Amino acid sequence: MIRKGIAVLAATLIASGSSFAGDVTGKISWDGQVPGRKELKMQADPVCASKHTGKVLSDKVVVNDNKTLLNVFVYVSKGLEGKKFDVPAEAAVLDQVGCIYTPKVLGVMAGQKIKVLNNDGTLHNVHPKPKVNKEFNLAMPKFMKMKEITLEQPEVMVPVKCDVHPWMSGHIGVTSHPFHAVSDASGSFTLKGVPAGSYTVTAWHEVFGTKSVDVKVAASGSVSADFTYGLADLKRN
Amino acid sequence: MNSEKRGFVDFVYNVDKMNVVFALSSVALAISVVWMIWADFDREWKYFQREAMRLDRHKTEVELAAAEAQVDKGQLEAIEAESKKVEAEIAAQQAALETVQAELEEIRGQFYIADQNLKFEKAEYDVVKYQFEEAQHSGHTEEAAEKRKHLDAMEKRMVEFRLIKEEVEGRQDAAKARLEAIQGKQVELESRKAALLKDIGLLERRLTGLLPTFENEFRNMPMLDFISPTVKIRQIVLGDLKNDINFIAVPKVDRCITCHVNIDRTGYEIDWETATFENEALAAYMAETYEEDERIGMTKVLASHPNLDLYMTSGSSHPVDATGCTSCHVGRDRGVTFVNAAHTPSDAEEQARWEKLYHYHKMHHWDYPMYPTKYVEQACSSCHQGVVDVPKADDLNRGIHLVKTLGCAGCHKIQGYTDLRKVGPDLSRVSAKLEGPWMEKWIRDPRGFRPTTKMPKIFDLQNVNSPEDIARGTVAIHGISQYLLHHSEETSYPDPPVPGDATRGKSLVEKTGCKACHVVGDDDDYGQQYDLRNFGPNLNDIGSKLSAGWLFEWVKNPEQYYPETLMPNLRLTDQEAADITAYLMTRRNAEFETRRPASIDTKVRDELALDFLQARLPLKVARDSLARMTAEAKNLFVGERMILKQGCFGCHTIPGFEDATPIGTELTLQGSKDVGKLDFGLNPTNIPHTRHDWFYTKLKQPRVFDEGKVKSFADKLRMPNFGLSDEDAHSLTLALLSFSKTFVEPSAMRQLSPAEIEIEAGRKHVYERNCQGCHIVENEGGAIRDPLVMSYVAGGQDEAGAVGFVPPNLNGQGAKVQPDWMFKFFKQVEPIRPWLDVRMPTFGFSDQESIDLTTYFARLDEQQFPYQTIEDKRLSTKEIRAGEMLFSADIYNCWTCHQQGNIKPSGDPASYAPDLKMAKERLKPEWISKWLWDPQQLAPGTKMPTFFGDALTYLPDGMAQYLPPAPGTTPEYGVMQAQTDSVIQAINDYIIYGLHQNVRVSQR
Repeated sequence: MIRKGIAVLAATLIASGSSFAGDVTGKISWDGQVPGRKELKMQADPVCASKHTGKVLSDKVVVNDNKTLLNVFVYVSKGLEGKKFDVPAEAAVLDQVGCIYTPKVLGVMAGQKIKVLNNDGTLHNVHPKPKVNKEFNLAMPKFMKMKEITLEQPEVMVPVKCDVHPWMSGHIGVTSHPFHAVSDASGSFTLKGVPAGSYTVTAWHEVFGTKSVDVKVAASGSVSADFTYGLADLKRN
Repeated sequence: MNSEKRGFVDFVYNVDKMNVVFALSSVALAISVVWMIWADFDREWKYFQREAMRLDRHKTEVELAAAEAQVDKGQLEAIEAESKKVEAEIAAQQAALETVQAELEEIRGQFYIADQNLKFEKAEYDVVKYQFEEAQHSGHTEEAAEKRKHLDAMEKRMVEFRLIKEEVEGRQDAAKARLEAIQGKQVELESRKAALLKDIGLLERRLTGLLPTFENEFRNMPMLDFISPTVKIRQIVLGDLKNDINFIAVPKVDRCITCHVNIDRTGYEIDWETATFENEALAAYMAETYEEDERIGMTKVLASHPNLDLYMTSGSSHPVDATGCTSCHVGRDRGVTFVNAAHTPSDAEEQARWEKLYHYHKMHHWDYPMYPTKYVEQACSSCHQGVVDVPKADDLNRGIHLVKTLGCAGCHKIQGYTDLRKVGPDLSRVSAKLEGPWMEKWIRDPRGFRPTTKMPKIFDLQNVNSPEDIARGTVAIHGISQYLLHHSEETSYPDPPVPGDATRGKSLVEKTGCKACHVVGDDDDYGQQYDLRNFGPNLNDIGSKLSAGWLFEWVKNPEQYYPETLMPNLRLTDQEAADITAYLMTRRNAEFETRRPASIDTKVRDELALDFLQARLPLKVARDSLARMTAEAKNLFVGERMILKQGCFGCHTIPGFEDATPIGTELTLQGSKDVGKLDFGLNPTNIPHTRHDWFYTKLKQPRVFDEGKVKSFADKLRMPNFGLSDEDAHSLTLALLSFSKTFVEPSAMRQLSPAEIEIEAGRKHVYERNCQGCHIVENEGGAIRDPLVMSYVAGGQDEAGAVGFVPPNLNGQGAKVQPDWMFKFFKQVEPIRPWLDVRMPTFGFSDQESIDLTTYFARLDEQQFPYQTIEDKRLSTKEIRAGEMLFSADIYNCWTCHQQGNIKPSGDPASYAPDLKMAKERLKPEWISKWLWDPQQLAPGTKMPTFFGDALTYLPDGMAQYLPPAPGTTPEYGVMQAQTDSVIQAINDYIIYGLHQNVRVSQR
């Protein structure tokens, strides 16, 4: 009863932007040699190829100019068990731009709506390959500009494929709470408004796997959680 | 002695003494009667039943308390409070109530009278009517007229009576309504209260039956307990299942439930590892009541059956009153003591506990003691016959498959297994394939060359590993190889006609499909023996065994060398075959190549030859003929005798042994064999005298029972060592136990329906041809998928794309394709997915096999078989145009993935999908529609996306004129509202008819 009360209280506080919550910020550093990026061959679908000028490089491993790693999914993996949070009313957006998923890595809360967009003018299909959630495979012919989907269960990560364009590969991280982020072009991320307490924060990368760190979030201010990836993590996986 | 007394007596014996004797003996008799009654009364099973009752009582009490706690107190109080109020209200209206009740009572009387009057009148009317009809028929006009008058009068009276009755009924209903108005609320409250306390009531009643009341105790008293005791022997009489009591079969009467009272009830589930009830209250009760050993024993006695879904319960497929207990567990059905039920412990620990608790000892003179739980599966095949696999009997199934795979029936006659093909390769042309030294090294140590081979080890085993016997073994092996080479038909295989490329060959081996049945490659560590991918030999050493020329011809056409081989023809070109050969020749076993066969000791050879000769000839003649033999002749003679002794021809076709008799004992009824007839020898490993222990030991150490015995080389045990794992030996033991006499009436067996029989026939081929090496059939198989995907990933494909190159999943195949097409496809393969590297081989199926397989798939999906009308129609230009538009890049863009005759799809090869031009011949139209509705439902994970489904089908404006309006929609709605059905029908028609009409190929 008391725990439930605290959870409700915490949720209310977060919703009202209370000062009993802090931010977790951090940077995903890259250590060592920068790996090369493979060229994606799109000539099988001229519509896709026509959307790009010059070479299209794989977005599987992207090391930013400041030696940080792009597209790392970061989320609170432990410490929020049993707590309930409101599902954001606003839908997340997964766009298909020039036959590439944008963003490449998307974070949503379980049950949150995801708007999948298709302005490419060609047939795509949205085929998540989850282990926990229900698998589905929806066609998006060129005339279907938007399709709403939801993933109901927390699951990190759900790969998303387009069978028509085998090079297309995206990932959706589904969490039971709103504290998730994806590292940006400067390699940094922020988990906003995490209720005060002790947590495990986990980073996930498609190729280099997961890493975790324990943090203590104070009632205000921000705490940092930094991660470093390198080619050595390839062997680890 | 007193003389005075003697004077009195006229007896020849002393009365006083006699009185004493009589007194003593009557006391003794009385005691023994009481003793007898007590001994008859005090039975072991009663103890278990009383303990079960105590446990049941405890359980019911706990449940009752829980039920009481669960009752919604607030609701109950509310009802009771309301009842009081209602009662008060009723009391206030007491006078009115009494009036109504009195009125109702009176009306009841009036109603009775009215009802009777009407009934009597009707009866009389019928009589008079009959009289009238009779009179009229006989021409008594006068009488008829009189009767007619009478009838008219009666009709009138009947109407009157009816009106009276209806009036009374009306008053009765009104009175009842008034009563209801006063009392109705009370009745309703009472029924609500009863519903609330329903569980409690049931439990209370149950508890009353379990309490040690005087009545219950009285019923169970000695001498009275024959009438209707509560503690009694329970039994199930099984007329169709019988026991073998030496020469006669007696119906089983299973009394196991006398002690195992909860076996068919839920609620007593236990964890069998720790023997603890899952129900915590019960577990706590047991822990409190008994000391540890007794707790374990008692918990197991009082447990529910661990699989009530499948056994015991009336809803399961093996209800206790039809299946009983000893039909699977064996043992003595009528036994009601621990010992004479013929229990068998699972291990030494259990045996010790039983000895302590139940004075356990093996019951002698009972041929079929219970099997420990892990052997119970052996019983399944008594009733499940004619099936490839018994559902859920995984270990037994594996054992039966091993009997076939290892070729047990080659040496041992087993009824039902006599027409199997020999499991080893044909050796009648072996000289073209193998060289002598390799053969000698191989025969000596097959697993030294290939750890997963099925070829067992025959020489140097534990009864022939003395230096002398090893030397004899060398001579024997040399003789066998010489014999085989000498009698082999001469054939030669020149080098491949074109040079091969090993790198290309590696890729072909990985992608063409070889890996469905063979393990090959440095990264291929699929090591499980006898599994789908080890259907054929592991090829990682093949270069050390064969010549390139032979291998080339073999992969091109296996049947030319070995007509009965299971290896199918992959329709390889010369270049492909040469490439594969080049790659396989690089797979070598370097260590084995450095081995040299031992050289023979001619003296030992001559002795061995003489041994064989003198067994058939007088010693002198034998010596003379040996002296006349050349060295080669001696070798050949020893080889021939050894092949005969070891029974090599059981697995291999060997010239000269076409009619030889298999060497092993018949195993058809091995599972019922008297334990006394099994040769334990000196029992060197000290195993218990049971069938299962003997079988298991014999399978693991086939020569162990020779230990300590003095035998000549020729007389020693001959069973080879298959290097079985513990699990495989266990599975085979189960199979052997299942080869037993059955005493089950056919009516009690699992009867297969005609469709099931057809399914089993197909299943047999699926198993024998290893279809599941490539395909998922009945949700299992597809073994090649992993290595195939791995190979594409290594080639740069990503994993999700690589999955596009695996062989098709055949779940639902019967509902999908037309039987005619499937039959033709089995007979002559035509590629459906030309982009795949993996290919369906040509198996050379006979007509019967193709029919069996086609029927099998049809029956699995409950399809009509074999004939079905497929309507033919011609599409209008408009309909063709509709199809073309729907398929175009503007709408569904089908041709980006689907092949269309000779036209390749426009998209990426990883996204390619089957040729739709073949659909007319191949697919069932109704399947196409189902598929289009929701592909994921028919084939979860398929690349084909769902185009339709929840949302209405959206179509571009221009389409309207081409599609039939969906029923119920008006033209104004346009095609925006076109119902999915009509769009799917248009696509379906276009695939089946449109694509084959002579019009220009649709735009891309």
